[in-house]
Amino acid sequence: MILESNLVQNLKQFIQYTGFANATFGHIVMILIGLVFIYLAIKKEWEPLLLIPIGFGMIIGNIPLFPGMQVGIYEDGSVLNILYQGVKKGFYPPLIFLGIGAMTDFSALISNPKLLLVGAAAQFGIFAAYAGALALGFTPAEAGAIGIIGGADGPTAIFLSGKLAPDLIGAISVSAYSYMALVPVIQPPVMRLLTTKKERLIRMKAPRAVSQQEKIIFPIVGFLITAFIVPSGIPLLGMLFFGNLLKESGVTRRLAETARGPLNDIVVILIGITVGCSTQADKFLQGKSILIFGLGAASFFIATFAGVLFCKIMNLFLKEGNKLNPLIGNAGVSAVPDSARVSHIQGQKYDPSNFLLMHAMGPNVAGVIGSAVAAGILLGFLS
Amino acid sequence: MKKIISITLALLLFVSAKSYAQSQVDIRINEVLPVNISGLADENGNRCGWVELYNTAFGMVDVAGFYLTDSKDNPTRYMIPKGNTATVIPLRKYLVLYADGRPEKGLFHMNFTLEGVSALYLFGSDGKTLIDEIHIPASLPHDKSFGRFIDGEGAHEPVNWSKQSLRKAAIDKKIGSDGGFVILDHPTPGNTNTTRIVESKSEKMQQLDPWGGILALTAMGVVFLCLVILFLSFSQIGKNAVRKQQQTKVSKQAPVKPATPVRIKSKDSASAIDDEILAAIAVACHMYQNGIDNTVHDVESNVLTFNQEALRNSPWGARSLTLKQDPRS
Repeated sequence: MILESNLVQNLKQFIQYTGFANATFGHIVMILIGLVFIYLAIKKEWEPLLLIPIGFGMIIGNIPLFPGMQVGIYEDGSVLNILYQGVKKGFYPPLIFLGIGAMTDFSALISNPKLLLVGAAAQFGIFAAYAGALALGFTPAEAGAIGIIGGADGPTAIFLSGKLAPDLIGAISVSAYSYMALVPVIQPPVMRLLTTKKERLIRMKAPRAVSQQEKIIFPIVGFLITAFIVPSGIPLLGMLFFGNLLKESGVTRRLAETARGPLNDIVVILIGITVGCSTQADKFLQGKSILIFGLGAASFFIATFAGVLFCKIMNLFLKEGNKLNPLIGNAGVSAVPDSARVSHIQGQKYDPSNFLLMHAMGPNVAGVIGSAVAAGILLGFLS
Repeated sequence: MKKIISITLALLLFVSAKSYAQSQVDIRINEVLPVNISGLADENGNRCGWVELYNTAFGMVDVAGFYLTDSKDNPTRYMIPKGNTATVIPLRKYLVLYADGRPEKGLFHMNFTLEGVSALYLFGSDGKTLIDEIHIPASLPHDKSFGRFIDGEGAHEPVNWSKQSLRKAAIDKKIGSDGGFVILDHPTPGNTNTTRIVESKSEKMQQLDPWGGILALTAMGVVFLCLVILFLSFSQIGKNAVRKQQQTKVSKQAPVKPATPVRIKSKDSASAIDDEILAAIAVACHMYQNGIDNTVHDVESNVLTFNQEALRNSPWGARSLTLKQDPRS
């Protein structure tokens, strides 16, 4: 009789510890969102390297837990919590920037430096979203973190939101990565809306060959200029340019390969899974998250709009033969290399022999620099 | 080139000789209370004067081995004891030392009192480098402390030129004739001297710029400034590079009588390319297109390059690769 009673007691206790007993409607919703991410990544191939870790992380993070077992991502000392420190303290994003630097060829930008200005113009989305977030009642620090979604740069968004609004990090990073994956859907209508058929057919002058000496000078001078103006951007800018120097110096091939290969892959896995885990239903399913998603979408549209429009304005001052195809303006929003690919695909729709990819990579990598600079400015003003 | 390297090294040596370890120069005498009747009591419940040090750095600083003195002629009068982790001041934090003239009472009990002392000096662990000093007004009432109005800010002697940035100079200009020091009505040992409510940058921004327009304009201006400077720099660097390339081309095209006849079999002399080069291009294209060895194409912009096969990922310790060939073999 006593044995039976104890057995029932143990079973009851066990059931209380299961996910079924602790599940809420929110958990189920978040698990479904995670499954949608995985579906989009596998079936549609939208940013699979990010959406699969984030999607699965969402599922991990939303398994209902009995609190206090030190397994949840927000429980101090748990394994997931330790891995999450890289997001919280912001040391994953600079490591990803190291990898980006080591895999990025800045030649298109070096051969045609005026494309840097297109990258600058596209940052307008960040500050439009910042103003929008303020109008919706967010604090300036929160608004700054939300605004950076418009930079279309996941690591930068994580870095800045970790510093300015740690409570919103899940919503901001998921929003940023989701829209980055949706770049092929969001940008083309804006690009078509703002350009005429004649403009879409513009053929840009082939970029000149860039010497290795120029490629070596670029990260050094680029870092010195940007870091002296915006020192708060040093973690991102320093690693970006350092990674590029490893690539271009020609004597650190092994280091460059590690930075852009295994190291980058490890950090992408960790950042993806922990960001996904951080979207626990009780923290993620709030009215604020919906507003953040809305503002993120608006900032992407505005950034694309500003980039394309700026190309058109530049064309007013450029001589025939040097004109820019405004279809590369969207690439100023970072999202390397997806947005450049969008420029190329859109250009080929109107002229299959017009190859815009190399030209679009210029504003694309300028956008990376621009968004890191913008993050540094926001950090300087608001942290 | 050697001259430039030598000058740079000499400059670096000069700078390093003049600068101190960052941790040392970041410590300030933040507040002193010479006569303590009803204020802070030590661990034994006794009251005495005290000195508060403040770490202005954003990293921990160990003040063990630092010296406090009331006379520049005797810089090593009291040494903060070594060998105890309690002497490590965390970033932007304070350390209080009891000036009771009874060092035997504990770690932070100084061997002199502050009664009648007109100035207090802090020397670095070498006993020679003056880190900071404070001049105590003679009229300071009992139970009143004298210190910096804003923690760590204000006059700082000696002025270290290597730390005298434009920003620091601008702050120094704002400091009044009192050097940033005031008599504090409410002594705050081990705590901030600033009793007013400090607003965060975000709160200030909310008041100054509720709609975000000013920040947006400023920030966009800075982003453009950065990228415009980059644009101008690289336009110039690019022009120089193109000029250099053209000069190199011209010098190569100059008529030079070859020492040995060049073997050119092509009939069209204008586009003459060595057969071996043509063969190399053909083989490389064949290998690349058929996926035989994708490494033959070096992924560079607009340039198709063919490199000589080289040993890749050679083990560092491989003797066969590090030793010279034996000429006799």
